[in-house]
Amino acid sequence: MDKWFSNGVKLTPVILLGLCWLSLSVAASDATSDANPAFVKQSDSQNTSERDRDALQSVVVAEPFVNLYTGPGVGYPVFHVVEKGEFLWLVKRKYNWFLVVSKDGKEGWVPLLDMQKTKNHDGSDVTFATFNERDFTARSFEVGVKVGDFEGANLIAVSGSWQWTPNLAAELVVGQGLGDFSEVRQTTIAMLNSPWPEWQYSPYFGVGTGIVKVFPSAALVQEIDRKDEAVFVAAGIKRYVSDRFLLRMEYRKYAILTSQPTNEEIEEWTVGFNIFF
Amino acid sequence: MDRRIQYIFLALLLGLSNSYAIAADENGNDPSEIFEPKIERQQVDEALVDDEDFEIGLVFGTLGIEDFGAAELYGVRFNYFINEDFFLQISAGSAKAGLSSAEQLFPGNVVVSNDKDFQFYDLNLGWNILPGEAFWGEDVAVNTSFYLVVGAGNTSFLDNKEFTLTYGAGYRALLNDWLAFSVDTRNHRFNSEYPVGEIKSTHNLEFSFSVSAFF
Repeated sequence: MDKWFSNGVKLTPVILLGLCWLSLSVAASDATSDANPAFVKQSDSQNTSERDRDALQSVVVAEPFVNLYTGPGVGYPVFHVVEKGEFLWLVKRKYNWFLVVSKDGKEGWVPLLDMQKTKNHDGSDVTFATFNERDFTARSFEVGVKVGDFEGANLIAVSGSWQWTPNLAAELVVGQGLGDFSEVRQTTIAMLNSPWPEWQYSPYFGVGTGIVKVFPSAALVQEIDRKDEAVFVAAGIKRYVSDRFLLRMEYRKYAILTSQPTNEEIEEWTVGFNIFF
Repeated sequence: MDRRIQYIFLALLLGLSNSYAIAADENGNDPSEIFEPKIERQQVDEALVDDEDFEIGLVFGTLGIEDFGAAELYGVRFNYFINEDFFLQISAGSAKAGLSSAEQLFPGNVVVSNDKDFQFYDLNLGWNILPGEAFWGEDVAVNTSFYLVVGAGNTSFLDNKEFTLTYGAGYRALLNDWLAFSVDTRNHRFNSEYPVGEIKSTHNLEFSFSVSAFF
């Protein structure tokens, strides 16, 4: 095993051959079974589905027509039109697109906006989860990543927060800072208040506490690892972008509660993006 | 008096009908079991619609480690698709560095570090800048995407951890609606003090293939 892995010349062609075979065999099997929407047939008689529609839920088209696209994106060509009153069977959802099967077995993608205009069998409106600016103000969770500067060290962090009320949120951040002379690891919790959640650029403020560990780089032998508690104040701005996506910029000022006579003060600037649920 | 008798009969009747109903239940003659109407669900339950916004993949390729030659790269990649245009990517990988030029020129005389494992993780934002279709002969078309990624991460190499910028481009082809094959090129750029103690920026180019599944 070791010999194989150490010998790049031998292994790479094997992997490449394997991949080629894999892709070819998948392509071939799909071409024959024709069960797949990703393989859109060139001729109109094809592009059909062999899915069991009894196992799928369906909706009724209520607008004059709905376009079926060959892929989940506005740039993909429209290859079929389903008319008012016909059923669409739902196969799956990919972000804001639905893979559907029509009455005559055509399989294609429909954007969320069009799906929302369809009806249930009993004539009521179909409801699908949407993510827009209004949902942003009603969000309950956020996860995100951010990068920035932690007193000279380059910081990378992941965060998760729970929106308790429209104004108050609790946030956990785990980060790693890499400086020229040391590595910093921080784990912090914060209580954040956004007084104007409906603003386009919504500011927020908070306080928090956590643990900051410092590992001096291997070259500096005289230094020892340190682990200190820290308290901090935070201020930032969030900006809704689109879908589940928002940008944030944050400033934090830490007081590191060291064992030395004076506490250390550290400033942190970060930018990042969050996804909300 | 008549009333009273009436009440008694009615009470008896009520009791009887109840006991019949119970008996019917016990015998398994539940009306819904006798006749099962095949009614389609009247309203769509969104929770039953399969969601596929995640992609997980295995990566293998080549990493050119500056001054240490090219090495085989193994890694994993995880994507979350925010919409048709953007995705978040977490990627991690490892490559075993070869000998540096100094080590080759003066074998045994150059002490670099025993830590020749080039290990990294990074967080990226990806942009499907050119989605499209590619064709295989006459009958087959696959959905594809040319994308750009930019991000930051951490590289652990030669007993040091370095803040690393990553940027590059890739091409993804969806073999079917859940399996994809991608080719990626990207640069892992970080500052290193090797070999002479002076801080300089190193560029480590990755060329990799990955097979991934959507779920």
